[in-house]
Amino acid sequence: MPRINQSIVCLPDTNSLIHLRGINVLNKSACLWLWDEFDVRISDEIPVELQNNVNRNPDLEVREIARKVPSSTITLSVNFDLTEECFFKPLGIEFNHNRDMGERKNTLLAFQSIAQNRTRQVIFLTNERRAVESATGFIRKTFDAYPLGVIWNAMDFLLYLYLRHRRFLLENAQDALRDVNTRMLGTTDAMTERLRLYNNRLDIFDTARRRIPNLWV
Amino acid sequence: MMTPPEDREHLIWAGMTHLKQELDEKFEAAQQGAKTQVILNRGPFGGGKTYALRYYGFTENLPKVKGSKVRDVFVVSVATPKQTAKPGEDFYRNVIERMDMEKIRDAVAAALHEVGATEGMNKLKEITGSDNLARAVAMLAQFSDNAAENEPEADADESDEQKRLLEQYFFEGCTKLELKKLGLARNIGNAQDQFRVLGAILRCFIGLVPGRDVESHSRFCLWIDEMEDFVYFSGAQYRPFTQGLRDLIDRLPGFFTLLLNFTLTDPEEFETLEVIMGKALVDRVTDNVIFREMTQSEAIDYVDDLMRHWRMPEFGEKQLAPHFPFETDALENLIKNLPNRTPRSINKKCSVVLEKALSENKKTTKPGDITIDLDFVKSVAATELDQEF
Repeated sequence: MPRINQSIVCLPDTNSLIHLRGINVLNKSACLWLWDEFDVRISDEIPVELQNNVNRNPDLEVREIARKVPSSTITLSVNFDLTEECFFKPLGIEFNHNRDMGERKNTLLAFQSIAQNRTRQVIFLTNERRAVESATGFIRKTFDAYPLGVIWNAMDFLLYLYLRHRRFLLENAQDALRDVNTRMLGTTDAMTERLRLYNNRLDIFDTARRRIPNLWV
Repeated sequence: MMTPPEDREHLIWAGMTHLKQELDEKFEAAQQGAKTQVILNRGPFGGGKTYALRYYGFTENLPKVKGSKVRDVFVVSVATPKQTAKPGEDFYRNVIERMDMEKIRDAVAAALHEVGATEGMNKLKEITGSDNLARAVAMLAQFSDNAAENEPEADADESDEQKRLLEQYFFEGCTKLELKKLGLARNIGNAQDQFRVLGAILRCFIGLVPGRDVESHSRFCLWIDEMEDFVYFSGAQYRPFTQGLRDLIDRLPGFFTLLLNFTLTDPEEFETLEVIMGKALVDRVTDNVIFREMTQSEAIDYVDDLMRHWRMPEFGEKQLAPHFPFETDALENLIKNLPNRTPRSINKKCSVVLEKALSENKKTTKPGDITIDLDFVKSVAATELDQEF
């Protein structure tokens, strides 16, 4: 098998892109950092969903994403229904018609990226809580069953940027986490627990920055 | 009742004697001392925090103290603003509205009259950090009804117009022309300005007399409900608001009580508080009051107190059971099987049982006729379970 591209493939869904919009990290939008850090691939459903969101919310500022999306859009090279049948059906996963189409196609894109030697593992970036947080959510079930990679949400990505870039200041990172958390919604308890958890992890990185600064040399 | 009442008649304190004692002690200290208090009230959903806010909002419910005490106590309550782009600014407007412009004018007039205009202005400048904002606050005194009694009669129409413009200044801001009419250089700017103005106004209620002599000052209590909703604020919304609250505390080093209600079901409580409210605000907390769940016996006392409040005068003559209309084992069973023993849970469950008992018996009911026994309570529980599934 020929040597693969060493870059990491990241498959963001529509929600995660929209939730990261306008979040300033070192004078650049967090969305654009995705393209700087990873090989971003999105299914052809994502541009459609993005446009639908803009149609519903004309004030939604997605120009920064819209410029990047066309070059990252990948169409599945195999039959969609057949591929879903092969991978989802054995796990007992069934869907209602066109629901979650963006996430479904992105998941199949994960299989394609690995099978076609594009990458070894993927980062599946989604803020779709229902599909991920419960044990029966289809994305969680799929990634638990098959060795495709990891599932991140937008807050994980911000933590990653904080780990990678020392100039990303603590206060700015706290604000960024807070901003994304408010966009991800949920019950008051769920939002509170999520913000607490991620701030706790941020504090761990912050402590490490001070105690083992050579880690970043 | 599932939501706390607002009218005085229904605001009684039932059971929860330790909690009442704790809160009373805080308010006693507030009346007898100069220290600024930042009291964090935390507990589960339905635990009584909003009820306490409404109860103590009526100053006749404050504990009576003897000896040296403040002249007056003002209690103003607001909820954390919701669904707003600028919560700090909305909070400022809500507090001003709750205080009532007429009372604000009177308080400013009284405060300035007590220390004299010059010293008063100096104090206001010190608190606001701005000559313009200080002058705006001082101007409120001119339109106090008390001031009007002492001043020669001016042109009524022009005076009304100035009064209206000044009120507009504090709420929405004025055009350049309107500012010129008022003799002011600029509007109240951002949230930082608003909290400074709030600080100055609260200080007028407290009194501008220097020193910390208790009898020369009043106490201002600002009670904020639903602080857990700070989780909904973005970074840009959250920082000016929490900074403003911190500034308020720092600018009012005496005779100010800030009470913060926070619903918390998290085992990692302290960490959560710091994340949601910010470490700087949490660090300024001087007292913690925990609205914990009641024990079995406390819950029964609570129900008894509530029932006692609503008893008809004839109750004593009828020799009825102590927990009437509940039989003892029925009430004990009801309380024991609650998911939690908060006032809301107890109220909700008792309401369901009482309503069902009344609806089944109303045709034959005379006062004292209905009793709720253990079988009835169990049958209601079984019906609810069936409905759930």
